[in-house]
Amino acid sequence: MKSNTLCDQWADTFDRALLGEPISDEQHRFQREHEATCALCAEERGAWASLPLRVLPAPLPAPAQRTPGRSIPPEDLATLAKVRARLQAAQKPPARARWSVARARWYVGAGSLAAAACLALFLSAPRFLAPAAPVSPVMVEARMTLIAGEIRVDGRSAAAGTPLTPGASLEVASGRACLRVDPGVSVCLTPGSRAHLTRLERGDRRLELSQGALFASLDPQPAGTSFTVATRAGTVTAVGTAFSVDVPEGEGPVITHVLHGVVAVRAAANDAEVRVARSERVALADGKVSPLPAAADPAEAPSPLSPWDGGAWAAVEVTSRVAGALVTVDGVPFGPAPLSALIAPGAHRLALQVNGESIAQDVIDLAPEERFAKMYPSEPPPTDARTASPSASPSGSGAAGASPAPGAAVPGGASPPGNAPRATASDLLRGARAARAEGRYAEAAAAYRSLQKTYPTSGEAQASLVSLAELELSHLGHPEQALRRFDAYLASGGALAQEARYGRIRALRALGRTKDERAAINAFLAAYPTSVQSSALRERLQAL
Amino acid sequence: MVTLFHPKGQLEGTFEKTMGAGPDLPGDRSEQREEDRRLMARVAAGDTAAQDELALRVMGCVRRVSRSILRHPDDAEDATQNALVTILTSAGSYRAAASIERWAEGVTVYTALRIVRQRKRHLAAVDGDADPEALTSLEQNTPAPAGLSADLERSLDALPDVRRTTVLLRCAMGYSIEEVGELMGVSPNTVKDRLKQALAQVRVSLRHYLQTERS
Repeated sequence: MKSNTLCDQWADTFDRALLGEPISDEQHRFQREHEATCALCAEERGAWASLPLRVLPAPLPAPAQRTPGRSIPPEDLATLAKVRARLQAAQKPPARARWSVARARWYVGAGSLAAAACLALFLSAPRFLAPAAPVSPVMVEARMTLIAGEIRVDGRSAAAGTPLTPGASLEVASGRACLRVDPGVSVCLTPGSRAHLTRLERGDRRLELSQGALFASLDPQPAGTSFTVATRAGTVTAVGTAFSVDVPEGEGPVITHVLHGVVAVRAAANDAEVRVARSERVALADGKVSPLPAAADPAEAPSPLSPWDGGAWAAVEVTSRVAGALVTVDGVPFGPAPLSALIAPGAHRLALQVNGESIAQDVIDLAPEERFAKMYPSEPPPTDARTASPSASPSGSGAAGASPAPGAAVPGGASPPGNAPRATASDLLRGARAARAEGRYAEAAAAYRSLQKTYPTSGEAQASLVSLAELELSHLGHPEQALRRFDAYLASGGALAQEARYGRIRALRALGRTKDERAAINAFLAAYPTSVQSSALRERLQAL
Repeated sequence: MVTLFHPKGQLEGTFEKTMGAGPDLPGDRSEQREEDRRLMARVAAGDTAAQDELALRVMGCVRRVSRSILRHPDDAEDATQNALVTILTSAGSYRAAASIERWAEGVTVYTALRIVRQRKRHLAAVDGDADPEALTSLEQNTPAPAGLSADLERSLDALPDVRRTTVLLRCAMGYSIEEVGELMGVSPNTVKDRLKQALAQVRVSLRHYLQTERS
């Protein structure tokens, strides 16, 4: 009876908080102490506290972070199509009623026939023809083809194959990044570069380079297309050529160097166009285009590397246990690890070097649309680092697990001939999630562990560390293992860092490591002061 | 002070006068807001690629909120589409005080509640004696998954629609009592009464589920 009264008192306090009424510190203390002894009340609070996360899932990652080639659910596509149709219908002018149209025609026809004929003759002169109704521009596709080093696309890490949309921002803190803009434009950015892809219309493809340097290489371009690099000092427009643009920090001149073909250069606030031909260099500054001496040092010539020419593709993702490793493919340096690049299918020699010394070598033979991912030097025994490009995956995994599909449908699996098809990382992740949703926690945990063992470097495996840790903490009673997995996830980083840090705090609490728990809470609150968990954590901090 | 629900910020005129800016979802950053602002500017300028990007980005959130408030699948789909159209055409009014998702959630809530009110008016026209407070939908859109809070969801599903909506707005989406009242077109005291009744009903069934699982 006494315990029922205490539960009633707990419920009354709980309800008052929900109704927005103030609760005293003493009542809060009572709730904490009662929940420590009454599992039902504690579980009820847990159920309510988890409700926001269950009803409102975390936002979807931005397009640059999504798995390239991942299919959108048919239901979403259908809804999107209906929404588009409604928007278009709302923009059309309303149709006039038939009777009013018929009457207007009669009046105009009867009263103005001769005048209309003269007017028609007069207006048929070309210069008086009304301009054609504006037509929506034809958009083209663009995607990342090489990511080597610290690269951020739209503020996030990305992988080769990540599609780019107008407005996409690119930052190359270190290493190199290359992108391809259809048709036939390859651009590589050097370390320290910042750029925005401002337009992706077939007749006007435009990249704004605010800092750093890029090299652009263009295949012979179809008529009616152009590619422009815009800078603070002016624009460089090219058709069928190879050139570089260098925008230094501060107020120094912008340098353009043409390797092949011709570019048209315009200084800012000056419509005069200057043609710059092969091997010529110019500087844009103070509204002028000034010629420069040819590059005396061959090292000044920009690197023309463009790793993928837009045809059939395969992908490599290389990570390294050794810092500063340079990845070469067929003897050509691609850039520092971690690296993600689109390459042509077929046999390739993969090598890693540190300070000129080889630390790993491999020969890979990739089928079209196959993705190869491996960490070097490898630890025994990786079962098979190859994965087929995943089909529609709901995981939304990050860069390491990305599956590029530039303009091509993602296949269900691309196993080498003669091998039995095997579950992909996405298949294993799906199975684990299904088991978890059905409450088969032990089975779900086993599936997560299998994923991590079979595809250790995949994005799915990385993200599943947090899911497995949650299972071990909340359902399987293994807080020490949960803590290890949270720590492993946080060591590599990822989009679930906040969830992992919160889970870590709960694991430390379950282990009774009060001092570590306190430190972890302080670090969490410093990093995420306005998070949903912050109030409860501050309360816990006071209680410790 | 222990707060079970995240506090909401000042009400803003982002979408009529009823939508609040709301708290940030976990992990929001000022750079993210800047990116969101750019995206919304492109949407407002009629960039169709940006419109698709925005629609697909918020689609999951919009659909879940619609289905949470309107359990009938046709009503939920109507609300989803209506909300998306409003989101795309109102992109120019986005002020980046909260994340895009939070803003879209507010639009969806308003849209879904409008459909709830339309159903109530239709019901009153068809059966003037029917008590909307006692109505529950026969269909449920999402199967209740296993797990602790699944018991809570099952308990909520048994509530009459208006009480369930009140609980969702207050507990799942974090609106204040006053904001819930504005959204549902009732006084704060009515909101409190509905919450008290809902809590009493939910607690009985929730504890029954919990005790059943234990045994």
